[in-house]
Amino acid sequence: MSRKPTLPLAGIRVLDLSYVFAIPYLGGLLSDLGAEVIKIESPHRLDQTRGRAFGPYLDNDPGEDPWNRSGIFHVLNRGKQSLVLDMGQPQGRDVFRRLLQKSDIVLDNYTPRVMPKWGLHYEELKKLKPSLIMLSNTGYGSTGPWSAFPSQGTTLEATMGISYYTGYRGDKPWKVGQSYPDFLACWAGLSALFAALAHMRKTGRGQWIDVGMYQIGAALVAEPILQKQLDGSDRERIGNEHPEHVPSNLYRARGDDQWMAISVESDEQWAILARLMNQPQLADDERFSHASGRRRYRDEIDALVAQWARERDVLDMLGLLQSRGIACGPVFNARDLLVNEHLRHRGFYERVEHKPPIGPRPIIGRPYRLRFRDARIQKPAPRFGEDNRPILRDLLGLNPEQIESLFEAKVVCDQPTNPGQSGSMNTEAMLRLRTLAAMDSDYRSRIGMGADNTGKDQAADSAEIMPPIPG
Amino acid sequence: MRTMPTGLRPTCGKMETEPAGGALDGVRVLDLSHGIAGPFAARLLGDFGADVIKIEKPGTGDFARFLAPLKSDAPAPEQSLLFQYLNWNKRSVALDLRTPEARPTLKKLVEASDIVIESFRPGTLNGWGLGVDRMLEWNPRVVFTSVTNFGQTGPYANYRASDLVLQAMSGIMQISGRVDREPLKHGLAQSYYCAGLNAAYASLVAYTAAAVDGFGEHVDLSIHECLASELVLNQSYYAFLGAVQGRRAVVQDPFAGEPIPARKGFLAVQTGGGAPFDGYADLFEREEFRDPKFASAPQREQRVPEVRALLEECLADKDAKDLFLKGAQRRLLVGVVQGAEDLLECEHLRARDFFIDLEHPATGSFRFPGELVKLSATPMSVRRRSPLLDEHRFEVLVDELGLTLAEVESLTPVRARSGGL
Repeated sequence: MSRKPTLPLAGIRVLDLSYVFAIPYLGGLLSDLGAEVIKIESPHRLDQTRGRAFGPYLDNDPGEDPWNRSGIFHVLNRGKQSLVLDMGQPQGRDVFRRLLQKSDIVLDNYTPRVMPKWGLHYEELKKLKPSLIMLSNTGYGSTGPWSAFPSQGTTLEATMGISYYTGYRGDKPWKVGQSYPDFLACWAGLSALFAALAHMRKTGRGQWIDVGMYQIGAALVAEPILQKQLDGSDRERIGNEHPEHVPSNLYRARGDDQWMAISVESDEQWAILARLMNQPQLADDERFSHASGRRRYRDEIDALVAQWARERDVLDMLGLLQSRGIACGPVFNARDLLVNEHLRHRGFYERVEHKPPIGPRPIIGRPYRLRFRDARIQKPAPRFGEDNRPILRDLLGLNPEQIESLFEAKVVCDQPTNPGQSGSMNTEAMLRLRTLAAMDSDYRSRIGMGADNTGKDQAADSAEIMPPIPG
Repeated sequence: MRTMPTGLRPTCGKMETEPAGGALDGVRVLDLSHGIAGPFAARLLGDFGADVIKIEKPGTGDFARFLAPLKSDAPAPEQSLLFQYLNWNKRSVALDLRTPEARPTLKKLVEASDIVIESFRPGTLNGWGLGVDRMLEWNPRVVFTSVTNFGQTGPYANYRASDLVLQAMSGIMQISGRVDREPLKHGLAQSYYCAGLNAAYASLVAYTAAAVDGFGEHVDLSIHECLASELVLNQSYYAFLGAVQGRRAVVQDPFAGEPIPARKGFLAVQTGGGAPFDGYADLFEREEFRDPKFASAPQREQRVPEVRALLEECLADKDAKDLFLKGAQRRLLVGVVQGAEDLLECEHLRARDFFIDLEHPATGSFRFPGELVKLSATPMSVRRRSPLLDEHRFEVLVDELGLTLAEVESLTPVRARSGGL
């Protein structure tokens, strides 16, 4: 037993073959928790998060090496090393097998046929390493009639049942958020992985974790699944309303695109809100005094609250209502969150020092604090192939000639062979369509990450600064 | 998902005669939480094999016992099917944590636990003399996980929240819905499920560390931060570029994943999966989709009304599920909007043994979503239905903790204990 609390994954090495959101994020979080994570990248097919599909490139400029400038890549892949290895070549798979013998966990999100095709499915790999834990994430899991179907967050969100119950009242089903199923898979995968690790440490035996994103989502819509069996009824789409609590909705507030969520969950809270709205007679109005009445007069109640909120500032309402115990809060945007006093106090965003040109940036940490253990982002995300040589030399013990022959055979590469197109986002068009709400040229100083680019942005320095959020 | 011993009637899940152990066999979890997030986390640990004891308020129990769907002809507080879903693999003991008489019993329970999960408002347990410091004093190896709206510290620590408020303040809603309408939340109660998934893994993070180094832990989880953790793209738009993302455009390429109405149901189509775009010409049997003017998103964005009209026309006489199956077989990125009935009847979920039937003495049998993830050596399992309130008082306190019958009787007056069964 050590004398100090340790991170749970100290001494654990992870080979991460995954792409895009769910499992790369999982791998990044493992490195926060002490693991050494080697991201194995293909020279021929860039992780989509290194490229134009997701971006955004640093200051919307793809530069000479766009694959090293993508913002989202740096969030998801923090703390990892990068090895660019052509697994399509037998020599590449040989390097992989040798790495595997020195590793504890393998992560992949290939479609179910890829790893077996390479002879790298779990049954083969565990012969090399009986304690190996391998996690494979696919849209539908490795078995069943849909297992070979291609998938991705947006379309899965519909299939898994979330979209059916999401949408404006009376409108069609909606996809909301951003790749929601990916995060569900990330979190569910993490719990399975840690459970498997606990088991491995007790027994010495590893196992294979088959994550199918579809069924994770289907497990989070249990209410309507049970309701259907109970009385045959289906939950309707009700926008931001609550089936039982009224008022509980989003109300437009003062300012441009400002919205306030207010949830009244008891008759007592309704009476308090009525007084805060300077309409104490509403508290005594028998039509509204009980939850069932408020449900009946939902539209009238919503109109009354909407009228009150319309000319009020979201932060004023937040302070006022919360001080009286009513659940409420503004719809925050990306900027609000990055300067938010509460999240800053909690240390939710971690300042990560990247090499130039990226420099210091706030990166999303973890949604929990540990009192005794120093979980943190260990280092910035790697440049493409940044750790090729150190891994081959130090971990596999290859000599310089062996290493060079791997580069000559293009088994290991320093550059992507097929980087695809890169380009900048058309931010002007996006602002016009309002898919971007704003562009802040002074964003660095706003989020406390150093000086803004001088020259072109001088005028922006005097731009309005977000007011602090009151406690 | 495996269902095992007597009392369960597995008709969907496969019955195993020689059940493999769970990954967390021998791990003891004390569930002091209520609602959805904390209990879901504790249940997941139970599904991985942990022995979970749930402590409930005498008389009414966890408030989730009153959350819909409710089987109204069953006796309260045993009506909630949602409670059953969140609390299988647990044993229930009613204990009034506010009373000094409960303390020695709770101390014994904490001493016998590896993980404690609670979801009281910050400061509540401390006010009863049962805060994290007391727990760690009782059991220095224990992992104590607190699941709250905004965490234990910071200016919002005592703020109230709802699923709606959490989705608003996390930033998710700012990018959801259409720019000319109000921001839109995820349906149902997604915040709490997200938090439950995170609380399960965060508890195991600390547990696996404690198992090695012997030090306990306080895991202070914020539901708000769980949701804010989803904004990996949105936050880098600002942190790398200064761009504040908004909601969906009024006019957008229908091949970007939004549900499109079909004769029956809604189809979601997305380009970019690697299959060439003219796969849609084959799927819809419409040559127009071979026209290069539709081939890329920027091109389609130039003629959105035309593309949308064509797509809706293609779907008007077809069923979404049928197109989904045919499209996916052509390796196109398609989804079909499915509701409860579709999921219950889904051939793929059936083949994966996803649903399990659980018999409950108060409500009869219902079919529940089961296994989240498949573990090859230590599969997740449902070993017991959710407990009646205080069902395991004597089993846990007398048989296992060694309290005398008199001690147990003195803990709570009998009349306040029973839920009617």
